Amino acid sequence: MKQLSLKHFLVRSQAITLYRDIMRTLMKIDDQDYRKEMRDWTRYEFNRYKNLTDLGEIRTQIALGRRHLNELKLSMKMAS
Amino acid sequence: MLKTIFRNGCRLRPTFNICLSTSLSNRLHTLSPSNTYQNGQVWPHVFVLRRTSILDRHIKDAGQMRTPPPLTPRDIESRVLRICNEYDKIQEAQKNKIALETHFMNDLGLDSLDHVEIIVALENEFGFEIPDADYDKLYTVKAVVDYLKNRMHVVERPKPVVSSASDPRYDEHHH
Repeated sequence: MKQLSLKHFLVRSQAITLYRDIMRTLMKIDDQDYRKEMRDWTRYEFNRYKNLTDLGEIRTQIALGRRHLNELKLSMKMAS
Repeated sequence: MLKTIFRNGCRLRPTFNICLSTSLSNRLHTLSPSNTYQNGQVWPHVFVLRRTSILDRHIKDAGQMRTPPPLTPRDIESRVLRICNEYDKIQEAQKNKIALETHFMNDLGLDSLDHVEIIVALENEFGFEIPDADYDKLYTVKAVVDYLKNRMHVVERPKPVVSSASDPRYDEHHH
């Protein structure tokens, strides 16, 4: 287990928070198939970049993730 | 009056040691002979009676007196276990062996993201949001159950809901 620096630790908890926000948003989707699809896609994306070590890259991915989440929330709001 | 109660399906929680007037108990006796003893004591279920001048509103309230049974620790435990078993990342072999002492990461091989998914599913199940800071306390099934018991103020032996029959608002005229 490699030692994480404090910055890495902070950025890791940001990623987990993002994942949590995505999951909570997905729970509001009524369509089970769509929900499953989004969840699988989210898992895939997060796992794909799981082993990044460069802080800049990690932060970029987190920001992209946030942007996706906001788009998702917007599309859900427009659909309802 | 009894007809009104029956018509509205008002079946209340069991009441104990209710003694009815003779005429009433005789009437009940014919309806459900197993339920009344000779001295007018009714056991275990009794249709608690209302005054003839009862308003429809009271009947409506009576119908709504049927509250869901209070939550017990065992309910919480079974619901938590059910949510864990429904989680797709757990192997079939491990599913039925989930117990209170099971640790999500050490025993079930889940990572932090899976853990988040399970807790979010529990949030959805129990209907309230668990603050982010508390996620770090919930790594075993037992911790989850205890936390939920605490948050939802669940006690070992919940007292039965008191029917509004004993509520003075509905009891202004007495026999």
